[in-house]
Amino acid sequence: MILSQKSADESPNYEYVNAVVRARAARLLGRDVFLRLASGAPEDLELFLLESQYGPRYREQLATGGGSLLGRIENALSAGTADLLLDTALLARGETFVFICLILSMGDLHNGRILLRASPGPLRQKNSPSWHRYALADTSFYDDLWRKHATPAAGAIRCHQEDNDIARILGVAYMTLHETGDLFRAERSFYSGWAEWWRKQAATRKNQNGRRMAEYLGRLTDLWNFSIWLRRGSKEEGEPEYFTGGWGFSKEILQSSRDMEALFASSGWKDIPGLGEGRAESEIFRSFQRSFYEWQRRLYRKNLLGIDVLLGYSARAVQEWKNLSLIAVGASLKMSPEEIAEHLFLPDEGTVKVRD
Amino acid sequence: MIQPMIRLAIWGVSARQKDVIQEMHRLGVLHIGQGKGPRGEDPAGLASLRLLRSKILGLVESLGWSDWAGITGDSVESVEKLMSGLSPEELTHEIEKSLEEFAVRLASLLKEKNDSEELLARLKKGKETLDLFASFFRHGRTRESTALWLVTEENANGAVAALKTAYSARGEGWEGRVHFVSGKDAFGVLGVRIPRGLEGETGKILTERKALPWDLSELCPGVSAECRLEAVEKRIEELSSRLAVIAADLKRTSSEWGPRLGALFMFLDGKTEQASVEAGLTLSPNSFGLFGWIPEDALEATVAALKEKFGDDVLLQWRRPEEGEWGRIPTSLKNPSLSAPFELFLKLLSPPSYTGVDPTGAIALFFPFFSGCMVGDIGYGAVLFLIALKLKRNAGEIVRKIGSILLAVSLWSMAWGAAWGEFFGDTGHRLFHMEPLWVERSESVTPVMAFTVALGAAHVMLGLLIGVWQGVRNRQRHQWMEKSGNFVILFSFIIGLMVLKAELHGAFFSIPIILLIVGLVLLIGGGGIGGIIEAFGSFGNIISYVRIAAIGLSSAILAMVASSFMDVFGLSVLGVTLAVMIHLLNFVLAIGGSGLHAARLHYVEFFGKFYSGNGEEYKPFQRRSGSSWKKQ
Amino acid sequence: MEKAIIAIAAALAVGIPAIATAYAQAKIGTAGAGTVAEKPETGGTIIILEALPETMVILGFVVAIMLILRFA
Repeated sequence: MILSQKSADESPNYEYVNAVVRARAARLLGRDVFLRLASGAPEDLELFLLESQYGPRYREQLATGGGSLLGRIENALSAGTADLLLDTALLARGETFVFICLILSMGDLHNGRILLRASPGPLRQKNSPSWHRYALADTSFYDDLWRKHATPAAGAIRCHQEDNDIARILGVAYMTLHETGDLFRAERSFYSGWAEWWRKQAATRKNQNGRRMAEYLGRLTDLWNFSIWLRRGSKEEGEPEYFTGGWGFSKEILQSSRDMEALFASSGWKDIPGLGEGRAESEIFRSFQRSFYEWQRRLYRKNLLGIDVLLGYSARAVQEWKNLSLIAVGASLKMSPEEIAEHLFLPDEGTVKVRD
Repeated sequence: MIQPMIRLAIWGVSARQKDVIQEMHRLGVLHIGQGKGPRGEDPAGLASLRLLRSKILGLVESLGWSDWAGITGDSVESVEKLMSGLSPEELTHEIEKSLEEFAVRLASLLKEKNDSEELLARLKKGKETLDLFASFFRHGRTRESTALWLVTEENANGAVAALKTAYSARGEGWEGRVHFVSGKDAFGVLGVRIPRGLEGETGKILTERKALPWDLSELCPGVSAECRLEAVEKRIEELSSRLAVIAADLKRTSSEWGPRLGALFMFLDGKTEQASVEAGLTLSPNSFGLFGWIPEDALEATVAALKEKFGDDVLLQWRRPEEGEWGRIPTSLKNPSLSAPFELFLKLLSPPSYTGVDPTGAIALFFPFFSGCMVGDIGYGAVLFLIALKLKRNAGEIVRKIGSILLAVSLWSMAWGAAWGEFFGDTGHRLFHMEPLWVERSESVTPVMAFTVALGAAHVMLGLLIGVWQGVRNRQRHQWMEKSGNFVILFSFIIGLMVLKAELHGAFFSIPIILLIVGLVLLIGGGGIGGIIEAFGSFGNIISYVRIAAIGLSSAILAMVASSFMDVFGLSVLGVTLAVMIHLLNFVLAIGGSGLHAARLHYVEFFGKFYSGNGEEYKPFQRRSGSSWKKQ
Repeated sequence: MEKAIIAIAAALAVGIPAIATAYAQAKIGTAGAGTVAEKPETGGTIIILEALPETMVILGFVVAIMLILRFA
């Protein structure tokens, strides 16, 4: 658990970390590289990775990993991304460190959700899923939960044993699942517990960076609320319960809006491609995700002495991992380059391509 | 200076292609000048060689071995002999086969280490919790069993009350049966010592209150609850000793296999490089062509070596580069032994272009001069001289170079010390009535400042002159016009100042005014508005040299302060100690500060006038050595 | 009294730019250290950037010396 390793009271060092990150960002891949790799074979991707910043992790896979080509590539990519982000976090101090931990904790959110959805145990495969390894809690913790603590009750106890804040939040969600058997409520408890905990951290920093992180959490909440809004009417118990603390969607708007145009009209969210063109809801949701990613990516060039650079860099690094993994899977399934490219979030791409 | 380069082309029959490339790799002088050849793609063996090379490096890294400097050329050659005559495919197959068993063993060892470390960490955490209930486990009561439950604090209170009622109803004693340890959130651990037979009822009461059994059975399976603490302690002990065994095994494996794998990697790296050069050769059906750049002074020996080895099987052609090729020629610096150490200053920058100027000679002249002027103390200079001599005997090349630079600084420090009349501040004056050859800088500030500004003007104008020469040589009209305009303007101001100072007739002012107009025309013609801004910058650059006086002044005053402790405390232990300590501090500040500021005057003020640093470093095709593996 | 005022003026002439330079150099230096750690080849550029604010304190020093020499 990286968060407990450092004091949050030191003075922040955005200048240093941002300079390191901006130098490292030069190694992030450009649009052309993704497209070139998408049109190659998995073997080409393998040789490419050896010369890239994922090289050390790919060598480790070659030397001791064994397994299939796709497995090696996926493991190297996820471990390599974690190295990039966790190394950056270890350079940070004080407020910088707290906020970069918040960004990394998105990984915990993903991992926790995977675990909750795979409870109870019989649904689980023998091998662990592809964890977001840059998460704050150790990958071994998630592996242990996956392999040895199949029931929600066992998961709750294991989380309590782990004795850190992220694990405790997950533990409460497990407990909810154990007591109610309702996955939706358990996930909701996990998301809101996680967001509240980080909101408190952001609120203690009353400056531009604190406000930015509060906005980040708010926008993330919007994304969750939008996915709940899309499912409205699928439940018979009346109005769905939305998360509090959204950035652009107020509870009232969410409850009263009957169509997407009305929902987005006064939200502050701009450039959602496909909106108002009668696209499928899933496509709009993807556009919305894309818009959230673009917002983070653009921050990279905003406040060079604040958290903005780290938000932009992390979003780009995580997206690079997802893109490369998609290319690896697509290439091994012999998908056409166009088909693979359609699923990628490519850098320097003004708008999102939505299938006609 | 920048070494003249020769374009060397080697043509030969395809049968000798591999041998020629191998020989060029051994000779290590040719900077390959061609990219991908007509074939465009890598040959089949190259990809597998690259993968194998990476796999071996991965094994080396997993072993934690890094003594690359310990690998001798002999050990690589012995691998080379062993593998000679094998095609890339055969080579890959052979090595893969021989490493198969080792890789599996290493992977399982590393996995066991990893798993054991994780388990150990969990056991230690588990023990921490069990320790809180140690008295429950260590009483050895056979009539009773102990259980731990995870429960919220609120529910725990209710559960305890219910348990008390249930136990009392059965006539069981209550004292010391429960212990609750709250956690950092709403939950805590409730320990309950239960008489046998009451487990079911206890479980029911607690489950009703949403408690979860805190079961560490996965850490020590098959052990009853009462014996868990003991079992966990035993397991921690076992795992710790197992980990020690694994660590020893890994260390042994590392020292045994590390050098072997390292040599194998170096051999494969060479093979991969050769194969990759081979992939870029210009080819016709029966012949090949390889070309690149070679320093002029290495040409003769290289040609002789190739002739001797291949005779008429290869055709060698060489010529001086043509003007159209200037942008592609790598830069290699070669300076006389006195100034060569100052090439270190260029390591922080990209190398100059082939047709650019190597400023090493100017740095060798000015850097110690400026730095020595700032230190300006015979005593400090002498101490620095001794340190420099010590550094020059060091094994590391960079340290030796730093020693040479410091040696030059120390000599100039002593010379300037004589000019300022300083020997450990004013100690020389007090003890030996030493007098300055020029001025006492702590008293006469103005002449020193004027001198440093003049020095700055000379240095900056030298930079501009080099810029003009470079522009003319490379036929870059804008550059030479801008630099010469800048130079003429500075010159006009100097003439103007001289006229003013000498109180000459007003008519003499026409000379600087004409010069100023000429300078402005050249400046605007060359650099436009940007040129005018740069001219202003040049004045700022010249004033910047005042720092030489400023730092020197502060150093001189601090040295005097140090000596004045002797006045206050007399020739006592305290007085001498304080004086020595302040001198030591001043020495460190003077050396550090003077070096840094002299370097800055070069990087910013001097290089800014001509240095472009857009050259390509000369990287001969050769076996890489030592630390370069670490950068993989 | 007059001398004291001149001394204070000289001290301010060098002191205020020194504080400004220190602030700027601290920021640039931290960022520079981060950049050089990743890209050592940028060392020369970083030295130049780090050196830029020094002009303030050098000019302050010149002004201070002139004040003292001229009026004290």
